Formats: sequence, structure tokens, C-alpha cells
Amino acid sequence: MTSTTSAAAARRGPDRYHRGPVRWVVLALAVVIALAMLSPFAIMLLNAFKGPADYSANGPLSWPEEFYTQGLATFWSRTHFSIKFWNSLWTSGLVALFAVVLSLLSAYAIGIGRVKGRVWLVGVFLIANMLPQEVLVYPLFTMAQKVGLGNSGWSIVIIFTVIQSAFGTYLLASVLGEFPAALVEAAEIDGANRWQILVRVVFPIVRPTCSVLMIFFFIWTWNEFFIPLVMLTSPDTQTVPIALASLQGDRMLDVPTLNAGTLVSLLPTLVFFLIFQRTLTRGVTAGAVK
Amino acid sequence: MTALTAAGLAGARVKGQPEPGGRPVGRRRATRFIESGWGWAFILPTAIGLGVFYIVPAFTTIWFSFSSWGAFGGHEFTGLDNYRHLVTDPDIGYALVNTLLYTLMLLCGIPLAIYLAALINREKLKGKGVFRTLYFLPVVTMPAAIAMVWRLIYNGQFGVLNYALSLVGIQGPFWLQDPRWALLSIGVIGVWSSLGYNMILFSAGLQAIPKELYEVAMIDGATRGQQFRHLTVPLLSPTIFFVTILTIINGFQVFDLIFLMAGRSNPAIDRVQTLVWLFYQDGFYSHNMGYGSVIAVLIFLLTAVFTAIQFSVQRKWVNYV
Repeated sequence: MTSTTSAAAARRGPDRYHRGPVRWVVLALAVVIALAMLSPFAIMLLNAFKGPADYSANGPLSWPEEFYTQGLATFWSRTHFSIKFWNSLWTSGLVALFAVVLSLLSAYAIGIGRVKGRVWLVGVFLIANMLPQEVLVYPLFTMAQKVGLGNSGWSIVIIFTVIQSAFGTYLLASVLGEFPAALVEAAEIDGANRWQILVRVVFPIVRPTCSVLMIFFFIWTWNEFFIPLVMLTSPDTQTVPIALASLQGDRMLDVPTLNAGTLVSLLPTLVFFLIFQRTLTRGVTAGAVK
Repeated sequence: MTALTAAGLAGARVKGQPEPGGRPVGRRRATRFIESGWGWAFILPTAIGLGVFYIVPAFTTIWFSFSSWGAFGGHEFTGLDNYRHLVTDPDIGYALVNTLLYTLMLLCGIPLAIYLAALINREKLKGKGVFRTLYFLPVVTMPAAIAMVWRLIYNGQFGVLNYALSLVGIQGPFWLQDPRWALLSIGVIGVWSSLGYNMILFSAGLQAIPKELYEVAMIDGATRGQQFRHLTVPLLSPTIFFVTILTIINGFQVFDLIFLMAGRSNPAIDRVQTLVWLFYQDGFYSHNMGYGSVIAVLIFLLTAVFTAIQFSVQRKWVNYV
């Protein structure tokens, strides 16, 4: 098997698809598409630090004449951005943490504990993932009003912890279904109870998957628009995306201000993504296919 | 305790077929969990959350759809009134067509994503990781920001797109206000922002195809196009199926982009309003939650029907190896 593979690889060496101009065409194509994908970000960056006069004189595609930061300052004070930022940060952070813990607990019982009726359970979690959020909004809204959590960040924390943990359970359960039995058995023979097995054996091994989930939960909750728009009705509880959206149609704001605001709203998720991109782009496929 | 486990293990080994290495946790491991009911204790928090904040609200919405809501909260049972209204409401017709068209546009992005995945999987491509990251960037970007940037691009007077077109002597339309262009313009954004995610899924699917198959095909003299048609596409079909389902679900739920790109006063609103957008308008703008709930039920039914159709025809074209 190995010898045939290497023989084939050796034979393939000089074939025309892997040498010569085709290679450069492929590279050029990849670059062109990357540029097309990135151009909106580039346009945003180009205009975020450009003076309004500069913008109206030279258009959106010119290089800024000076490094203009007033737009950012205007956006920051106009939207009370510190408050929105903090609201987004604590709700998204808590959701990421809680949802991963809940997912791990239930996935452990389904994937390794193999509880009775787990096929049904996984089915329920799967359907929950396919349910449009809109179906839930009115009842959740009235429910939150009744228990005094209307217009509170905690309603966001609770709702998204549940939504994300439905996805997390589904994904982690399929990962844990492949977990090597020998490890669990060895721990049991050593007298470990179920809790110890989870914490000392299972968790260290699935930690990379858990951290990928956690980062995704954070980014998804941070970006979420519909439910926070409905639930959070006053400026002191609203999150970053709502603040950004509230500026739409504000004729008083110039383009640089809007761009600077957009940029600074994106920053946390972009930084997060760029730091963890290797794990993330791999982790998105874990358990998703098949 | 230990002895019991060991005995259990021995017994199972004798009974069960010896499985090759890396065997997943077996059925017999489960028995002890079931006996104690411990497993359920671990599931309980998630299950309660799902029940209270997911399943109950879903059924409450169905209940709401049979009622009428006053401006001050109280609601009364009105039977099928909302459903009757639904069938005769011209806005629903527009919204339905727009939602389907938008979803269709997203589906058109799938071949592009496959092509990108194939591009990124080429062995000799330099800087694969960088390209993968760049293509994925729009996926982690919040819709509110995406909309903000694209509004600047599409703006009829000062927009980047029309500015670029003016350089080559073309007078561009008001992309978001022109009924002919509005939905298409928003669809382009939808494709742009989902391309990276689909590409990653396809890329994983492509990596799972054994390279030897291509060697054999090449020796048999198959051209690259033939290889793609007769080898790659059939072997990638489970991923194509998965991505199609996901795309349809996402397409039916489009709201953020419509809400953010086209306001209520948009002259082309008939041509861009989608079902979820109408749902929001009726429920939270006109405060008619009963009618809004009917729309929600409609969205749910549509999703369910389309997913069911997908699953029933998949046997015809999806090859699970």
C-alpha cells in the first residue's frame, strides 16, 4: 500500500498540472478572489480615518490625506460605545462559558454514557438547531417581561446559552461518540467515578474542541442581531450591533464616522478570529459532515 | 467494583466481535450509566433549558397564531382568522417570492464554494492558510457591520460601486432603491458572507477523498473535467447535501440584511421584504403578535417541508461511502 502510493507520487512528479504556468494561474486566481472578498474591509479601513472634507473631495477610493480620528471619537460618544461594548462583552463571554459547560455535560452523557433514548435526544437537539429563532421570539419576549428580565442582558445570556448549547451538545456528542473506550475503562478500573472521568480523562482530550466551540459561541453571540434587537429596548442595555444599526439613516453622521464605528465594532471578533484562525477553520468541520 | 468491571469486560470480549483498534465506546459500557440514571443528571440542565426556552415557546407560538392581540397586551382566541388573512395578504406573496429568490441566490454560491475549496486544496498552492483565513473573514463579521459597509458600496450618490463605474463612464443605479436591483444586490452580500463557511466544509469533504482514486483516474486517461464530474462530485455529495440543507434554512431566515439594508421607507420594499422581515413588522411594529405568529409558523413549515423533501430525494444522488 505504502509503496504503491509513493510510486504513484513519484510518477506524478513532473506532470503538467503541478509545474509551470498552471500553478501561477491558480495562485493568481486565489489572490484575485481573496482581494474581492476583502475589498469591503479595505474600503472600510480606507475611509475610517479620512476627513469628511477629504472624503467628499476625493471620493471613497482615494488614500487619506491625513490620519483623521475625529470620526472614531464622534462615534464613540454618540453611541455611548463603552456601555454597549461592555454589554456585548459580558453577555457573550458568559454565554460562551455556560454553553460550553452545558454542552460538555450533556454530550458526555450521550456520547460516552450512552443514556437510554439518546437517539431521540440527539434528534431533539438536531431539530432545535433547525428551528428558526423567529418562532421563539414572541413567547420569549412575553416570558422575559413576566419574570422581570425584559430589557435585561440576562435574558440574552439565558436564551443564547440554550440556543448555543443545543448546537454544542449535538456537535460534542458526535465527537465523544468516537472517544477511545480504553481510556474510560482504564479510569474506571482505577476507581474513578463519572465526574472524575469527565474532568480528568475526557475534558483534557476534548479541550481543543471545547475551546473552538467557546470562541465560536462568543463570536456568534457578539454578532447576534435579531433577538437582542427585540429584547433590549433601552440604550443602557443594548449591545454593539444594535448601536451600530441605530446609526443607519442618521443623516447627521458623515461617512468616516460610520466607517470608524463599524471598524471598532468588528475589532474584538476579528482579533479573536485572527488569533485562533488555525483552530477555528479546522474546528468548524468537526462533526459537521456526515 | 473493580473485579466486577473486569469480569464485565472479559465477558464482553468473549461475546462481542473483536473490533479493530480505536473502537468507540461500546454498548456494554453504557449499562452502568443506565442503571444509575446518572447520565440524565448530566443532561438535565441542558434539557430543562431546551424545554423551557425552546420547546415551550415553539408551541406557544403555534397557540398565539390562533389569537388576536390588542394594542395593550390582552389577546383573544380568534380561530383561523389569522390564517385566512395570510392567504389573501399580497405582502405575504411578495415576501414568499423574495425569500425563495434570495435562497436561490445563496444556492448559486455553492458551486463557487466548491471551486474555492478545490483551489485551496491544491497541493502546490502557496500560503493556503492565509487564503483560507481571508476567505473565512466575512463569516465571523457581524451582519450589522456587513450591512454598514455594503450600504456605502451600494449608495447611489456617493457609493464606491457607482464611483468605480463612473470611472469607466457608466452611470450606476441606486442599487438598494431600484426594484430591479435591490434583491440582487442584497443576495450578492449573502453569497459573499456565506462563501467562506461553505468553502471550509467542502474543503474538509475534499480532503476525505483518497488521493489514490485520482491517480487511478489519471492513469486511465481521465481529463481533469472528467475527474471532477465522475469522481469529485459523487464523492463530495454528502457534503453538498449538508451544505444545501444549511443554505436553505439560512436563506429562509434572512432578516438582518434586509432590515439593515432596506428601511421601511425604501421604495423597493415590495421587492426585498422577506418573511422574517414581515414577521418583525407585524409583531413589533404593528403590534399584531397573532398575525406575526402565523408568519412564524409559515416559516417553520416551509423549512420543515423543504428539509423533508431534501432528505427524501437524497437517496437518488447522495453517495455515502
